[in-house]
Amino acid sequence: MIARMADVDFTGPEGPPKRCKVCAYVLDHLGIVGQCPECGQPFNLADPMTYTNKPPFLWWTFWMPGLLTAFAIGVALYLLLIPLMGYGWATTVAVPTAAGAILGYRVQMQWAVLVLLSLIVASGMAATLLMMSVTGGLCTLILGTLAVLPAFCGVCVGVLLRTHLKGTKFTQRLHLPMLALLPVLLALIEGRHSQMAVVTTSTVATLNAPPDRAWQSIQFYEQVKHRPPWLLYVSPSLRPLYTFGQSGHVGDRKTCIYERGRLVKEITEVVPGKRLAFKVVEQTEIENDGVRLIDGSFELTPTADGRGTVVTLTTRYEPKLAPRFAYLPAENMAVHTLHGHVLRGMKEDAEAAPAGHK
Amino acid sequence: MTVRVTARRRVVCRAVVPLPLTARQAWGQLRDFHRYAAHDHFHAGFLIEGGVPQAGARLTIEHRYGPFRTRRVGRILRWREGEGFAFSDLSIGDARRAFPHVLRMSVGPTSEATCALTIAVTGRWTAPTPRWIARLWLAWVFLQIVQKTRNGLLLFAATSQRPGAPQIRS
Repeated sequence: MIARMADVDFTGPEGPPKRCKVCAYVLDHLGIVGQCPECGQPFNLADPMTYTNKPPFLWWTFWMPGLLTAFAIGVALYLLLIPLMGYGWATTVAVPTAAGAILGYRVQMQWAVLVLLSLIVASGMAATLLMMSVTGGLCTLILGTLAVLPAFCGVCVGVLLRTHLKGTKFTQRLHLPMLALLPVLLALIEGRHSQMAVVTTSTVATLNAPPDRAWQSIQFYEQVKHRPPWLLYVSPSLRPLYTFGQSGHVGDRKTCIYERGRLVKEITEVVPGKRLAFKVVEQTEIENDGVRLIDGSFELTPTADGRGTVVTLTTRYEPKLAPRFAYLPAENMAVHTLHGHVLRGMKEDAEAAPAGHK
Repeated sequence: MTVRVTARRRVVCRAVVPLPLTARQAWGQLRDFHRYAAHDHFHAGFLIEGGVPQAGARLTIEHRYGPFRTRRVGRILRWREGEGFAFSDLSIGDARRAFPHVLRMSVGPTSEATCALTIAVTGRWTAPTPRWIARLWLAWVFLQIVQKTRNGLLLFAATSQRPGAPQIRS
């Protein structure tokens, strides 16, 4: 056979097969001119207008409609539930689960693709809420991160539901609205989390400066000179522009303007060298959907040798995000990051400048 | 799906796949020989004598085993419009070595709107391995062929039943 092969003209495929324009029947090697054996449509392979090279299906048509449906229903549920019921199990867990279930139900693809699509749905929904100013930057980050796991669990539920319903005579499409209604039902049962326990978060740092220099270096978040960490910088409502007002005496007010929103703090206690406390009297568009800031304080304690100062920053806030076990670690991380940013600013000032420079 | 390796090392793999298509619709897709014959995991491409798939046409079959490529030869043994095709896949040096086999695909009607696709691989297992290893290996490779072929045709069926899809008259 090898010897004879050299004499023979072997030919590979000449591009994609030519198909009938009506029924996609493969027309190759049926003659130059003829009729489709399946539907009778005449063809002339010399005339490209009479046949098509396009495959009868396009892959994106198999996943895009399901992805858009899941995404649209998820966003619609968020827009309905967040203003009406606030944050709770329904918004944090049930909505992404429902969106994932619709995705898993509607899209028949490999698991790796489903994982990727559930990530896109979870992050896309959160990003849309941010763009529509429904949630703040930090809330969006937390909500989007928390939505990934429920979305994937929802995908599994959707796949199981589809697989099970294939074997029944029930009209499957009727299940889709039910999947979307489940978070609404859960939200109605759960109700609004109107009052949640106040959270107090403190961060401690030691400055290599005596208390009087540490006192001079006290500054609010908005006054810190170096760039905020990325976690705070992602949110426009946490990117400070400028401040005005005083903070030296009880009753003084300091107004901080951010890229989006403003915060007004009123000094409530001044013990020079020891303690500065303030309360928040106005919070406009500063993560209002996630927290209500109450007050805060700077506590200064000299170290045993008297050459250093232990600074304790405390922030009190009323959370609005539930379930607490899901949001509390993220809130703690954000507050500690903010405190760390302020303490770093104080440390740089206190350890660099001589006493009484302010 | 059945995969058998007899005591005399004869290999018989067979699967029957029901399809929601008429036999003619299924054949209309299956006759894309370069696509459907390449659903074997190791078939990288085909060269056909004269370029036209027809009974008796000789084949050069490009095989790919990971980074390694090799050529085998064969012949289209059967090509019946509307029914199916079969081709042999043999070692280029000695037709009795290196798993000589024949792959056959055929469609037959089961009702007015449905058909059954039969995929079969018959040949001789020549590697000096225990039969159970041969069976395991063949089962895996054959399953790939069956799944890829079935998925391709089911995808066509799903698409042709969607609104706005090409109207398939049967």
